[in-house]
Amino acid sequence: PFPPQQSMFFQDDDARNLATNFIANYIKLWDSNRAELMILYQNESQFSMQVDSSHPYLIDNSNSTDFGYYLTNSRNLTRVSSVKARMDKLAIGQEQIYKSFQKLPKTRHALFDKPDLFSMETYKFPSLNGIMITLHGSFEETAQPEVDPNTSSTPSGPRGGSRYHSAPKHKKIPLSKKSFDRTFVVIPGPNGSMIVASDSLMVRPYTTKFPWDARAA
Amino acid sequence: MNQDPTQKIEPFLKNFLASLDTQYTPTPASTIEQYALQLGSPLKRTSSIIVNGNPIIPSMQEDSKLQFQKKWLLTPLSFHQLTSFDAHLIPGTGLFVVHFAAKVKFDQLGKNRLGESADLVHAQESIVNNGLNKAQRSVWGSWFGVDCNLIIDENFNESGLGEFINSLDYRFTYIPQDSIIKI
Repeated sequence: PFPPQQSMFFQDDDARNLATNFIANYIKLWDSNRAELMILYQNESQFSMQVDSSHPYLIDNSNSTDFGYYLTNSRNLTRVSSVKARMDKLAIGQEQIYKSFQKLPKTRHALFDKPDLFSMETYKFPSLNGIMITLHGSFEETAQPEVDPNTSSTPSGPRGGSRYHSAPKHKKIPLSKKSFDRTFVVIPGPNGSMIVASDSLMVRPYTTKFPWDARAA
Repeated sequence: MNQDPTQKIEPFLKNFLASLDTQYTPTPASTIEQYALQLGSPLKRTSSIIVNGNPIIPSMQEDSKLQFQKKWLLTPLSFHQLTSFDAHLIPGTGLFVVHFAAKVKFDQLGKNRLGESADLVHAQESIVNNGLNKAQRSVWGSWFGVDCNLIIDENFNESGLGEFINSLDYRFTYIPQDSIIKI
């Protein structure tokens, strides 16, 4: 009864222009220099990341699905029950959000070479004259996070220090591809600028087959 | 902070998904209309609804909720399982943005929710069911992956009674290779 998968949906032309520009610039900076994105976030902006390790995917043995860099900060609320932990995993305001960004592995999104790997929906957010933008796709992890997310707050003593990480010693986590879904609520700021009010990243196992792939149809 | 506004969202999501998975049991007291109105009941009549990148366009005669329910009625019986969710309360709006993931499997018997099949003659079924209980069990297929975004009113009721969903963006992220189901 529903029409077949359509990879891109834009509510209107304004939404199309705004969303495609926003996502293109955002992803470019996300892959190269996340500090430059911080201009988009304000005191009340919120960011959190959740891992859905049980999400269905086509098994491809060439890729590992180690979520070691993500699990400590994952705000999958079906799996976090204490109120303190639920609130600690939500980043509010520029400073906290930037810290969260630094704890995520460095990435490369093939958005410009292979736009077919991505799908997107944009539609109006009912108040604040805002817009919802959801992007689905995958990325490649290219380097460890700047700040190791598995660090405890205690400073590393003479024996605990590692030369390569700011964290206590633990087994090296392999880098791999991941699939993801990311939803932004973008509202207009002063002088034609944009503000990200809400930013929610879902990380899940990498799948080589996905429904919006035109080649598969 | 000892108050967690997201606590009630999990039962709400489970009730919403259960409303999509409701099975039709014909009784003299329940009509198809009543059954259809249960499907996705927490949606508002004016909800923005997008399924796999396709918007539901409301018409003068039928609002978006009713159109969604009519389409969902024709899909095979589903079974959703919530696997992950997260939510932000957007200050000054009275709204939650809820981002969740689920697994869903569908009944592969080739029937829709009302038990109707497009086969005029289906030899095998008449043999299998000959003289036996007519009630047929579902044959579940493999899991699909779903990513879903909702905008819901802050004062929602976790039981799922009432209309609280302002927008629904439902997207399959994975369709199993062996599936013959299209929704």
